[in-house]
Amino acid sequence: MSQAALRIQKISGHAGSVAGEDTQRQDQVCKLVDTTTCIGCKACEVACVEWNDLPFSQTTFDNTYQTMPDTRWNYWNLILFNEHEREDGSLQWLMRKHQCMHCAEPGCLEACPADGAIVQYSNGVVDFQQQNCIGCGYCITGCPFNIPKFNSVTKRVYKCSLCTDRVSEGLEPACIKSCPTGCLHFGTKDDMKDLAEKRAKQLRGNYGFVNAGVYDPPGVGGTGVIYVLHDATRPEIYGGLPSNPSVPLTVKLWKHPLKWIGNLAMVGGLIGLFVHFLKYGPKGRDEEDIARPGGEKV
Amino acid sequence: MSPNDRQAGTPAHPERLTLHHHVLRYNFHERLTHWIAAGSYIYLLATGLAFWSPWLYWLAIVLGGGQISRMLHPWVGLIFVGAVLYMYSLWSRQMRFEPVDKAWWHSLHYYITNQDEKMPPAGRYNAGQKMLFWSFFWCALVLLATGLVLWFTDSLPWSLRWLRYASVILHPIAALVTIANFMIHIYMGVFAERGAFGSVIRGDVSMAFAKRYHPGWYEEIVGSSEPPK
Amino acid sequence: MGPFIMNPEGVGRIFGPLAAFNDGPFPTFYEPVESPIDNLLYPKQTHNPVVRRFKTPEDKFGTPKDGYTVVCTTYRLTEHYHYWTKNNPMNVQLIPEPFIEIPEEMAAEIGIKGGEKIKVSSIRATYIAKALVTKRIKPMMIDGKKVHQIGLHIHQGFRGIVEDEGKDARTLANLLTPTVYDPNSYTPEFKGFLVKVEKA
Repeated sequence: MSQAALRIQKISGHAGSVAGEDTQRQDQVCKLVDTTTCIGCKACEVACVEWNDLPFSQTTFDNTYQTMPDTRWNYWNLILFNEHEREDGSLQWLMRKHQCMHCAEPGCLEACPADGAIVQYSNGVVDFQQQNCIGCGYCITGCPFNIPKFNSVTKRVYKCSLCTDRVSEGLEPACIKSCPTGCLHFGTKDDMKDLAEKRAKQLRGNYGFVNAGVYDPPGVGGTGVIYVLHDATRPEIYGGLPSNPSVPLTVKLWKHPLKWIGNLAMVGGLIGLFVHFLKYGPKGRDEEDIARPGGEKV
Repeated sequence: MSPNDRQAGTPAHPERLTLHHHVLRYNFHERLTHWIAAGSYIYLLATGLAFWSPWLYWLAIVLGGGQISRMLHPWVGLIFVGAVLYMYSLWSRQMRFEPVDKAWWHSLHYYITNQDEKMPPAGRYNAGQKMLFWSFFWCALVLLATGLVLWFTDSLPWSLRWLRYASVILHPIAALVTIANFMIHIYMGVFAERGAFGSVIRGDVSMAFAKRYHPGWYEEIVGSSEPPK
Repeated sequence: MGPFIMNPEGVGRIFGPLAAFNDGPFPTFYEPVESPIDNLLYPKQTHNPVVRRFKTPEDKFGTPKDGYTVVCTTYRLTEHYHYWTKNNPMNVQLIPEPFIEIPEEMAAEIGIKGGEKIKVSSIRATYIAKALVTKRIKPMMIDGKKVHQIGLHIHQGFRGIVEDEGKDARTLANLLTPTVYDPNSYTPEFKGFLVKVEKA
C-alpha cells in the first residue's frame, strides 16, 4: 500500500507535504489524438463506457452526428463534430475527441478544498477519488476545459481517469485500444510529442496544411493529452478548444495571495485584540455597570 | 410600541424601565433573532474556514464529515441571511448614520483607550455598531449572491463562467470582512464592555451602562427629566 | 505496336460469355429506374431493358414530372449495424433517432431548421424523421438544372428501444425505395431514387 502512496505526487486540499512528491522515477504518460486521421466512428466513446461500466444515458437528436452536447458524469469522452467552412470555400468536417486533458498544473486540483479528492500521480494522470469528494464543484470552476461533471444523486464529480487502472498494469487506455484508424496513440510524453511533431511536419510539407501543429498548451504546464490539428492557429474550430487555457486568475489569487493575507489578518487580529485587552482592560470599572438586580456583583 | 417609535420630550419606551436601575435594551424578539444569526454564523464560520484552508479542513470532519458540511453550509447560509434581513427590518432605521456619528469616529482614539467620557453622545447605537450592522448586512448579500453561484455551479452554463470566477474570490473576501466584524463584535460584547453580554441574553442593562455608552438613548428613555437615582 | 503482342489479332480480348450475363456481354451505362434526367448515351433507352421489376399495382415508379425532383440515397452508419442495434442501449445512445440529411440550401427553401420533422415521399411510400441540415451535401447542376440530393439511414424500424417509447414515426426506409433489382446480382436499386421533401 505504501507503494501506491508514493505514486501520488500532488493531493488537493492537503495540509502538509505529500509523501510521494518527487519520489518516483516515472515517465509522464501521454495520449496523442491525431484529429487529422479521426473518422468519428465513436469506438473510443463505446470503449470508455464499457470499460468503466458507466450507465447508459438518454440522448436525443440535435441536428448533428455528435452523441450529446457535452460530456456527462457517466460519459467521459465525446467526439465533437464541426462542419467548418474555410476561407477558400472548401469544407472540412472536423472531429475532435474531447475529454480530460490531464494538465501538468491541474486547475481542478488547485481549486479543490477537500483533502484527497483529487490526486495527481507521478506519471501525470489526474484522478478524482470520489470517496473524498465533497461535491462543492470548485473543480468545475478551476478547469479551463469544462470537464468535471456533477452527479446530482451521488453529489460527486466524475471525469476521464486516463484508464489509470489499465495504465498501472502496463496496458494502454481503453479508447486507444479500440481506435480502428490508429489515430490514438499512447506512450511517454516525449515519445508522443515526437510523433506528433513528425505528423505535423508531414501535414505541413506533404498535405498543404500550412498551419498544422501540435496542441500542448503551456498555460497549464502542458497536458497529458495532446492533439495534432490541421490548423493549430485556430483551436476553437475543433469544438471550442481554448486557444490559451490556464487556471482562472481568481482561483490562483484565492489560493496564493489572498490565503496568506487572510490568514495573517485573522491571526493578527486575534493577537491584536488580546494585546489590546492586556494593555487597556475592559471599559468602565464602575460597580454600577456590572451590578445585577438585587445588588450582587459580577 | 415598536422599537423604532420616537416622540420628542416623552420617554420613548416607558415600559422598558425595569426595577433596580435597569432598562430593557433588547426584547425577546430581538434577542432570538440575534442568536439565530449568531448560531448560524458560527456554523458557517467553522465550515467556511474548513473549505478556506487545508490546515482547518478537520473542522469539517469534526462537524459531520466533508460531504455533510458542504451540504449544510449553504442551507445554514440561507438561515443566516434570513436572520440578517430580519434584523434589517427591525433596526435599519435606527442604524442610519447621523452627524453625531462623524464626531464619534473622530474621537475613536478615546474609545480605544477606554476614555469613554470624552466620546460624543451616541444614540441607541454608536457609530461603530452602525458600521458593524451595515458591514454584516452588505457582506451577507454578497455572500448570498456569490454563495448561490457556488452552490449551483454545475447549473451555470459555460458562457457565464465569469460569474464563477468572480464568486470564488468575492465569497472568501466577504467572509473575511465578516470575520473581522465578528472578532471586534465578540471582543466588545464579551470582554470590553462589561454588561453588554447580558443585554443580549437577559435583555437589560443598567442605567449607568446606558448613560455611559449610549447617552442619546438614555435621554430618550428618561425624557428631559433627571435620571432616576 | 500495342501491348497485346501475345494475341494473334494484336488487340485485347474481353471474356463475356452470353450465358453469364443477363445484360451482357459488355457493360454499358443506364440511368436508375427513377432518375431526374434521361440517359445521355442512349436517349431512346434510358433504363436497363432487362432490369427486373416487381409487377404488383404498388410497384410504381416516380418521375420528375410527377413532382419527384429530389434524388435520394440510403446508407448505413458506423454507430449501428443493420436492423438489430436499435435494440442495444449503447448504440441507441450514440444515434437515438432516425434522421434525414438535407443540404442547407434545401432547408432554407422549404423553411425548416435542423431538428424539425420533415416528410420524404417517393411514389410508393412516405418517411418521416427529423432533418439534419448539413453543409456537406451541395446541390448539383445537372443538364443546366439544379438538382438536390438527400440521404437517410436505414437502421430504425418498427420495434426498438426508441421506437417502443413512441419517440419516432416508425416509418421504414426501404418502403421508399424502388422495387427493381439488378438482372445479374439481384441487388435491389436502393441507392438512387426520386423523392419529394416537405415539412411534416
